Amino acid sequence: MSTIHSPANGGLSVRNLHKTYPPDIVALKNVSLELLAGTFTAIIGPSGCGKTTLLKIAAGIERYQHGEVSFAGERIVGNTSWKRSVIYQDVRLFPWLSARDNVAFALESKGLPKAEARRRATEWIARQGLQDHADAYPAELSGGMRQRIGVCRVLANEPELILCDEPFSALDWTARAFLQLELLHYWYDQRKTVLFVTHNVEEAVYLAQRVVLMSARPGVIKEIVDVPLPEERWAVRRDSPQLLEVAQYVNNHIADEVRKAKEAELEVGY
Amino acid sequence: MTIWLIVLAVHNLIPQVNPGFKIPADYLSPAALLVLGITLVSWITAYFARGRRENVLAIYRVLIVLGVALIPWEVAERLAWIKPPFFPTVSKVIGVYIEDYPTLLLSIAYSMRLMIIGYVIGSIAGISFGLALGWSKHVSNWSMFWMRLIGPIPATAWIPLAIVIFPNTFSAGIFLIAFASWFPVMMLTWSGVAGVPKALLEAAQTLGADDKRLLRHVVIPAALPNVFVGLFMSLGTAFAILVVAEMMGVKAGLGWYITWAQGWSEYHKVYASMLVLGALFIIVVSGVFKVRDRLLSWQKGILRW
Amino acid sequence: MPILGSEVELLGVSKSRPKGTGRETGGLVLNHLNLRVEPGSFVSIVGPGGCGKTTLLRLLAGLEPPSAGHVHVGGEIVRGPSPRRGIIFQDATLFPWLSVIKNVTFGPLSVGVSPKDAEARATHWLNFLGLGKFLQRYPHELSGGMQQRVAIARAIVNEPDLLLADEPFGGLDWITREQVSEELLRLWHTTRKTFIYVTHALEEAVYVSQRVIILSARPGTVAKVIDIDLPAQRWAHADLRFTPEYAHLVEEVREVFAEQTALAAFAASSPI
Repeated sequence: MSTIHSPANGGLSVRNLHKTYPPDIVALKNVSLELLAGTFTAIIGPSGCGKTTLLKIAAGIERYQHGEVSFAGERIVGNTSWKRSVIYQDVRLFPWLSARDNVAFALESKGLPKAEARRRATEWIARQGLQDHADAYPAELSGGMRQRIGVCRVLANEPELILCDEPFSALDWTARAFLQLELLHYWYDQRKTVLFVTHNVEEAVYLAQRVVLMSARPGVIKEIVDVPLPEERWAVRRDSPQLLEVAQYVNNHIADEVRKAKEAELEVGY
Repeated sequence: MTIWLIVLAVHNLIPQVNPGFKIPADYLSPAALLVLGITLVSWITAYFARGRRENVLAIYRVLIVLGVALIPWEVAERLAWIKPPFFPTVSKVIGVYIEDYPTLLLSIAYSMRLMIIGYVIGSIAGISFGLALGWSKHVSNWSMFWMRLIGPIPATAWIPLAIVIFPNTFSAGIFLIAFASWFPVMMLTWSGVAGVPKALLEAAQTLGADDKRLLRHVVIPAALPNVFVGLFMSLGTAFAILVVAEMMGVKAGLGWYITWAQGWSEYHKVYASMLVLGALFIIVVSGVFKVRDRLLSWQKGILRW
Repeated sequence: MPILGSEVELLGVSKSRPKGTGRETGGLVLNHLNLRVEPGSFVSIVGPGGCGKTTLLRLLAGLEPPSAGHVHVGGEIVRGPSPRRGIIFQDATLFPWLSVIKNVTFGPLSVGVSPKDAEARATHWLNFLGLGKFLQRYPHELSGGMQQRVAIARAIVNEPDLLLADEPFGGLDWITREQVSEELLRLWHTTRKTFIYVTHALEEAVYVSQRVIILSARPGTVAKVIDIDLPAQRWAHADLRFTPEYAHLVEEVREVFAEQTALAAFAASSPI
């Protein structure tokens, strides 16, 4: 079902990862995960389960106490790189730069000369159909457009590992559906490795080939579910019975974890 | 309009009690006539160009208040209730601009030169120190105590030391003004740098930006709004210190002019130059505002402009 | 179960605003909107951004008058805000200087209910919403979900005929969101007031309401009304969100919504 591409690409390898926040909050407990290159994997779990922490560690913006994390053979020890870019939920466009300059920033950070970066940025934006807004500032754009530029900014660099931190949760339905399809098409064509963190069960099952289920804090991986749907997901109806079945299964496991998390919180009397 | 007609009337009709040694030239009458002329013109403009009404009204309000303030002054002056030299007639003050303008212009030039050079040096120092302190934990650990100790010392306290260290009053003056400007700019740049949202730094890092790029292309633009707050604050202090610095003994300058005129009890000159100082401040502040508007135009969507 | 809510009717309602600055330009926000809500029903209003759904809610609450047309609640024309038309906003907006119980008794005390009765009523509703142990706590000590529950109690304690909610669960995480919306549904089922719920979350709209009203792009009118034929007492069906019927309905709403947002994008590019 899932095609494995040339080993030169490499995948994300997480072994015995352990992460605590002071004073002694265990975010991740002995987590091990192997993502093959070119696969689309979703991670889902209740709040506080450590899925975002895992993503941040893979990106290099968070350090960890024990374990081995590497991508394409290179160890990740709190170092960032354009090869492992993040699409954030709050987009994080630089407010002092226009849309085009925001995208160009990424290309320049990769090492492209200014003129070339600008040219490619304009191309990417045009591919999105947003050329009329290329010179607009983020404050002048709607939420959906901002995230489209945000996605553009990350994909323009063609990173090897695309990390998504609930990127579409804050958007209204049409913007979300549009961007989901865009991401799917991009992944299908380019076959980069995608790790997609979300709380939306339907979104996880619709987009990914495999869904990783995490438990409530301390975070461990409970199960990894295969999604037996074709890779051309855009052809799949969102109310198709197979999709609903997998979603139901995932949701049941999540519901248990959520209940446990709620009980734990109520004890503290939040 | 009526107000200014009253001003004219008071000035010309009430006889001067005790004129003193010489009858000074009358400058108020022409000035008042000029104001009346302006009022008339602006009335007509306001009638035909509705868009400009707010600007015209603003000017009106200023002129009316001015006129209202002048009436009792003129009356008091005419009836010798208030006496020179501390309370000169309005006409004499206006006369300063017309009679003494060469000296005034020279003083303005000298003062502005001193202030601008001092302010620019102080601001650049402030921004550099602020960046270093905000960006490098190492630097801030070692220097924070000393910055906090030295910074708030009023510039005026440095005068004796400055006179000894620097070869001439000009460089001493520049040092004082630079010192006065440095501290607010540094503190606000520092807070601006420290306040750059971690989210933006992470976004840039995960796009591949290295530290150098991060500092130049993310930290500085993000901190710029705060930097400008610091620049505006230190502008005020710089002006204040300017007058003091010139008292150390300069060839010309507004501060020097004020002190000199005071020495001769020519208070009309003191008042006239104080007004010039105020006007210059407004002009310089507007200039800095214009620069800010260009550099921070991206804030338009976020803040109330 | 006696129906206690009032009927809501909007006849030819239009609303225009003076031209403003920024992205949300003024002009005609609602255009000749006709809508009838059955007494005691739970209705959701969804629509593309800027379509005027918040404006519509404000008109119903009496916070603003319509530029044309009439807004009727319970047979009377709405002339101003009233505790009989309770409203819950996106952020709970509780009084931070008052405890939970005092926040809820504020309304009844303002209209002259005796302190004893007010406290009894407030305690009853707070218990219903699961906040019985937190009566003396202060808002800052509560999580977002709990604050929102207090806001619901605060609105319902005045025994309004109409309860309005403007994206009340927007700031909450998805689990809390699901829980609190279930509680809102239970509340409606018990009180049978008329509930009108404005939201961006289409799945949530389908889950809680009996009808979903989809507004068109600006200027807003009713684009489509979809009846939700799901069982009452939906919280009792644990798997409801994954049944084909539910999914079909969600897809239907999404399709109409998508049409309208395509129109919204078109409308946004040409200034009105």
